[in-house]
Amino acid sequence: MKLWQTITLSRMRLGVQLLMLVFLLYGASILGHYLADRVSGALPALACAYDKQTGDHCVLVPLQHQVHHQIGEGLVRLQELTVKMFIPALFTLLTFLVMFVVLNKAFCGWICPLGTVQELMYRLGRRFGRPVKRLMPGKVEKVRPAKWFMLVGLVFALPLATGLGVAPHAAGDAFCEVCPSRVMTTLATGDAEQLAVNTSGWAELAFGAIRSFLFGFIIIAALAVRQPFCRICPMLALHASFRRLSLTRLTKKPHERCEKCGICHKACPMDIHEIWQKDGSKAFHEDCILCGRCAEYCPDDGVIAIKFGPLAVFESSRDYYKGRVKTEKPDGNRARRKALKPRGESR
Amino acid sequence: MFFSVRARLCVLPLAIAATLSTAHAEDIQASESGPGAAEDAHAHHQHTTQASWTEQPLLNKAHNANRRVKLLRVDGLAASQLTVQPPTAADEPTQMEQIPLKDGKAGVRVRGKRQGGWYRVSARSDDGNSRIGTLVYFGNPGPAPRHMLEASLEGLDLSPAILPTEHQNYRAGETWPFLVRMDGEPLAGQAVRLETSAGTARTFVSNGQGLVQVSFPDDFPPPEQREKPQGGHHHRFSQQFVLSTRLEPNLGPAQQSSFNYQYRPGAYDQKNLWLGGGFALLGMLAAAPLVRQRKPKESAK
Repeated sequence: MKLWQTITLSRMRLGVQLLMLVFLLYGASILGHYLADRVSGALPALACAYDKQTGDHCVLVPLQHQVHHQIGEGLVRLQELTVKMFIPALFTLLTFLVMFVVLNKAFCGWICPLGTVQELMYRLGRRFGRPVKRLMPGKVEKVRPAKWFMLVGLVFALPLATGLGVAPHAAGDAFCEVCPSRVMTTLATGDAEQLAVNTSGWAELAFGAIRSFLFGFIIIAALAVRQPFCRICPMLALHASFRRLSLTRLTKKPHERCEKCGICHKACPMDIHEIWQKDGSKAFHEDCILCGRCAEYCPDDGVIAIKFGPLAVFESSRDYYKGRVKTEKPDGNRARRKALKPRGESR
Repeated sequence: MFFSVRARLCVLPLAIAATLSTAHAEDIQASESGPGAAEDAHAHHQHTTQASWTEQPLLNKAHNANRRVKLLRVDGLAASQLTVQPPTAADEPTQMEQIPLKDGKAGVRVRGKRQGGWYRVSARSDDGNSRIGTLVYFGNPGPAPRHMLEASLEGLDLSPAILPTEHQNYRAGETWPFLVRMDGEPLAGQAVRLETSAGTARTFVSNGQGLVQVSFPDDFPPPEQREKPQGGHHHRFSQQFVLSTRLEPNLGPAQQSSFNYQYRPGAYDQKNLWLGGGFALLGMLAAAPLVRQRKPKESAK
């Protein structure tokens, strides 16, 4: 088999994820001390600013600071409610949108360091024969609102309340305080500081305890559950708000065999049943991370596609599907190869 | 079919690379917070008299006029002007702005419309033999300070080799590089003395490249004895330090250069790693049932 024949969407995505993992965790060490300050402060993925070697910063850091220091404090000072107060936050969102318009939620599925680590843990779980725990329709609906609570509560409400002076200072970047990526990325650079719990006040202690607990839970849960933190990540909600504005998107055409098939649902790491049960724009659900597994595992030609503008970057095909299931099942487990028959044995 | 599908796959990483490269061109981070924000909040309440903990001159931050202007005060040095060096891009010429001091004070103003980042500020004594330098941070987007730091000042110059970034400040227990130069040339074997407002004094020596690795002492008082910082929203306790070096040439008068700024308590100050590890372990235990392989039921056989 030639090299190019072994390249699948999943393998290419893994390559990009690993490359981005190294860049986002150690980029400043390789490419310069001030890299993160200069490249961006608005990356739509959990690249932690507490990682001293990071190559870039997550958009949620400046967004929380701006809600806290400018919008919240500005309201308190009762200065004139001018556009000046909101301009920095608007700039951050605008830059986020510039990147987002090109790649949409592929930032989650292809770039986010925490997403990559969770996916690697799930692969490790397959290696050690751990069970696959899926969230079936009904259960998954109960989890979905959590990401909106995280976005509204931790990224906007608490920083704003801190700026207004009605919440403790520790809540000024409430999401960062509980984000497990902060622990994961810094530990990966040999720095255990973010795992330590700040004991200087009750709010700090509570936030630190939640952060460390979440980190421990996510790392182990990811051995059996695909992308456990992604399901409640506020970045997913932020992406979901703007997903229709992007050039990159997931499309699905109706097909007569879809109703009885459902393999795309089994392949989806976010357990999105809509990709199986719906079509058109409804199939591109707010939880989609554009990993493309549904398109890889769709056994029919041209039904599911990842499109960039009018161009189909990847679309499902029967031949591709046949090759894919030979190596990996839709749920991520390894496909069992047929046992070789002993020599001389006939049917 | 296979080939065409795979060929189109190549567009995805290209699109990622293109997207990230767009970020280079933009001044995008508009946060008003930053590595210098805490120091500004603290400096807002500095004493206006000469510090008792050092005989070195100091450049102290006084009351901020507004977000675009930072007021500095020269203590212990007879100087008539400040030299302000804003951060400049690599393809821009180095800029030095002279601001006259009035009653030992002058305002450092953000360059252009709102070019933020680190500004290097220094004052030279009227006789030209002594210099004090510090840093001022504006929380708007601006060029990286690399190009700014490469440019050396005339005479003996003691300056940071790299500057703090967001969430990475001068802290107790950490070692940061500083550079000693004479008329732009690195000065090897030069003694650099560190003094802190807590009374610690240490001496370091520069290497062949003029670099001196300065370790900040953990000389902070216990949390309950610390004066509560007032004002601002980055309520973090910090202490002052001053680095100084003196050169006595065979000919001519002795020259002295100093640099003063703030440093914070160490990484694990008021933090408990064991407690964090314990909560992480608790999280792992809570997730353990998810990864347990259930035995098949007897009836299923």
